[in-house]
Amino acid sequence: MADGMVVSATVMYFGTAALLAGGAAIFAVLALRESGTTRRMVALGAVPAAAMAVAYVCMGMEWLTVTTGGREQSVVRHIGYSVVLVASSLIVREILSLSRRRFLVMTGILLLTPWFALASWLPDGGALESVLTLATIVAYLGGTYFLIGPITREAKTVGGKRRLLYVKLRNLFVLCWGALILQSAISEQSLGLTNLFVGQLGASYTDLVFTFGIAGLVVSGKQIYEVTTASVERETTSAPTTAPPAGGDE
Amino acid sequence: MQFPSVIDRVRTQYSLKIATALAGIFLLTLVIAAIFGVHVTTGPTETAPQRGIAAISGLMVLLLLNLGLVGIVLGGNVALSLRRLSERAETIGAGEFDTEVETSRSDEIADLYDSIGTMRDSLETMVTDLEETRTEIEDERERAQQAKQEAERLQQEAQNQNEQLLAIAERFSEAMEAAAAGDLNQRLDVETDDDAIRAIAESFNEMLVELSAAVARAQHVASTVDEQSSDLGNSSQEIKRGSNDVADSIQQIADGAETQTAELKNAADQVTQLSATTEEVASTTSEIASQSDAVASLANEGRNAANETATRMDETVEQTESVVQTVEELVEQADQIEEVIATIDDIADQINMLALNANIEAARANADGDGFAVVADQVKTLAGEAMEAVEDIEGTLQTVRARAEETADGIEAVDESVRVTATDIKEVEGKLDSIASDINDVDTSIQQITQTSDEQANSAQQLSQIVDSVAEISEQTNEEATKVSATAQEVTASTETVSQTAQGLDEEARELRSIMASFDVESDPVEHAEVSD
Repeated sequence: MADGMVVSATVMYFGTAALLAGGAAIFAVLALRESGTTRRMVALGAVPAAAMAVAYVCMGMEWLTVTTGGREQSVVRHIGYSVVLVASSLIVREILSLSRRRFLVMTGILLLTPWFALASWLPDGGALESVLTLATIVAYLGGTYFLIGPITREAKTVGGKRRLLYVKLRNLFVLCWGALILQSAISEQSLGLTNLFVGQLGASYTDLVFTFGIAGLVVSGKQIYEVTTASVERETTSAPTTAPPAGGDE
Repeated sequence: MQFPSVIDRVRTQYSLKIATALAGIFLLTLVIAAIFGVHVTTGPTETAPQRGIAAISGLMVLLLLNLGLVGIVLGGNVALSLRRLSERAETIGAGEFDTEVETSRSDEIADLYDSIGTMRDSLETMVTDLEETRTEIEDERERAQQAKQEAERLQQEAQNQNEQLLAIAERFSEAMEAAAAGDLNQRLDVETDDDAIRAIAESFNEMLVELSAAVARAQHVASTVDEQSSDLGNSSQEIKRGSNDVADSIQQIADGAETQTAELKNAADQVTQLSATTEEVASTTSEIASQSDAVASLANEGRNAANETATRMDETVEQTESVVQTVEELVEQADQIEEVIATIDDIADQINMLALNANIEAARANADGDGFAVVADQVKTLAGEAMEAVEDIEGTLQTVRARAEETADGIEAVDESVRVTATDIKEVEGKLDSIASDINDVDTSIQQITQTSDEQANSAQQLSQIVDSVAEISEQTNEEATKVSATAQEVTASTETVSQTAQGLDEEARELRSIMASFDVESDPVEHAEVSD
C-alpha cells in the first residue's frame, strides 16, 4: 500500500465499481418499469454508470494499464469515459432531436478531451506533453463552447422542459469534466498538490456524481420523452396556455 | 417535528431548500474531510504535510464540485420557472387573459405565480369594467345628443306656442275688460289647440254664466229684501208685544220656583234627620250583632268544655270498670287462697293424726320409743301451730274478701254515679248545641237587620241628596226664570232695534236694486235665480 493510503487502490476501485454497479442496477430496474421511449431513455441514462462500473472493475484488476510518471494509469478509465460521453451525446440527441451530423460533431469534440488527457500522460515530460496538455484544455473548452453555443441555440427551439434538461446535462458535463481536469492538473503527476489516495478518491467521487447525475436527470425528465421522437417541439418561444406537467419544473 | 412536515416545509420555502442543499453539501464535505483527515494521520510523520496539502487541495476541488451541483439543480429550475412566468406575464400584458398561470412548485415562486394569476384576474376584471364603462359613456353621449335635439325641438314648439298664447291672451283681455265694465254677455273663443287656454276660456265663460246668474239672483233678492224688510218692521212690533207677555209669564214661574225651593229645603232637612236616625239604628244593630257574636262564641266554648268533660267522664267510667274488674280478680284469688289453705289445714290434720299414731307406737315400744315419742310430740305441736296459722290466715282472708267486696260495691256505685253524670253532661252538651245554633240564627237575623238598616241609611242619604238636588234645580230654575224674564225684556228692547234696522234695510235694499240694474244680463233674472237654485 502506498504512503498514507487508508485503503488500497484496488479496494477503492472495487468499492467505486460496486457503488456504480448498484446505481446502474437501480436505474436499470427503473427503466424496466417504464415502456417505449421512456424505457429506452432511462436505460440509456444507466449506461454511463454501468460503463464506469466495468471500467473500475478492470482498473482494479489492472487491465490495460500504461506507466506514466512512474505510476501505472489505466486506459480502461478513458474507454469508460468514452462510453459515458457517447451515451450522454445520445441522450442529448434524443432530448433536442439533433441531426445526425450535429450529433457526430458533438460526440467527436467531447471525446477529444479524455483521449488528449490520456495522451498527455504518456510522454515523459517535454514539449509534447505540454502540447497534449494544452490540447486537452483546448478540447475541453471547445466542447464547452460547442455545448454552450451551437447546441444551446439548438435547444432554444424546443420546449422549456427539454431545454432545462439539456442545460442541466450540459452544466453537469462542464462541471464534472472541469473538476476532473482540475484534479488531473493538481495530481502528483502534474503539479503534485495531491497524492494517489486523494486523487483517486476525488476521481471516484467525481465519476459517481457525473454518472449518477446523468441518470438522475434523465429519470427526472421522463415525462417528456413520449413526445420526443413523435413530435419535436420546435417552438420558438414557450408561451404555453396550459399548465405544465406536475413535478416538471422542480 | 415529523419528517414529512419537514419535507413539506423545505418544499414550500425556497430559502429552506437552498439551506438544506448547502447543509447536505457541507455534511458531505465533512465526511470527505474526515476521510482525508484519516489519510493525513495515516503513514509516516515526515510526509504528513504533503498528505495534508493533498487533502486540502482535493477537498477544495470536491467542495467546488458540490457547490456547482447545487447551482445546477436549484438554479436551473428557478430560472426556468421565472422565465416561464415572465413569458406568461408578457402574454397577459398583451391582453390574453385566458393564459394559465400555474406551477407545480409550492415555494415562494409558486406564491409569485399565484400573485401573477391574481393580478391577471384583477387586470381582466378591470379591463372588462373599463370596457363596460366606455360602452356606457358612449351610450350616455348618444342619449345626450338625442336629448339636446329634443330640447331644441321643444324650444321651437314652445316659442310658437308662446306667440299663439300672446294673441289669445290679447283677445281674452278685451273680453275681460268688457265684462269688468258690466257686460256679462261677453264670451271667449274656445277654438284653440292648447288645452290649458281652452280650459281657461271655458272656465271664464262658465264664470260669466255663473256671474250673470248670480247678478240676476241678486237683483231678484234685492227686490225681495226690500219687500221683506217692510214685513220685518211690522213683525218686530208684534214680537215686542209677545216678548212682554213672555216676560210676565216667566216672572210668575220664577216666583213659583222660589216657593218650591223653600219647600224642598224643608223636605231635605226632614230626610236628613231620617237618614241620621236610620244610621243610629244601623249602629245599634251592629252592636247587638257584635254581642250576639260574643254569646255564640261563649256557647261554642261551653259546648267544647262539655264535650271535653264528657270525654273525661267516659275515661273515668272505663277506669272504674277496670278497678272493678281488678277487685273481682282479687276476690277470685282470695277464693283460690282459701282452697289452698283448706288443703294445708287437711295436711296439718293428717300430720297431727300421724303424730298421734307415732305417740301410740312410741308407747308400744316402751323405753325404746321415748325419743321417737318426743319427735312425735314436736310434730304434733308444729301441726297444731300450723292449723292455728291457717285459721289466722283464713280469718284475715275473710276480712280481705269482705273488704274487697265492699270496695267492688263502692266502685260500682261510683261507676253508676259517673255514668249518670256523663249522661247529664251529654244532655248539657246537646242543650249548649241548641243554644249555639239559636244564637247563630239570632246573629244571622241581626246581621240582616244591620244590613237592612245600612241600606235604609244609604237610601235615606240618597233621598236627601236627591231632594237637595231637586231643591238646587228649583233654585236654578228660579234663577233661570229670572234671567229669562230679563232676557225677554231685553228682547223687547232688541225688537225695537230690529224694527229700526228693518227700516234701514228697506232703504238699503232699494239702493241695491238700483245698483244691480246697471248690469246687462241677457236672460230673465228670476229664471236665472231659479236655475241657480
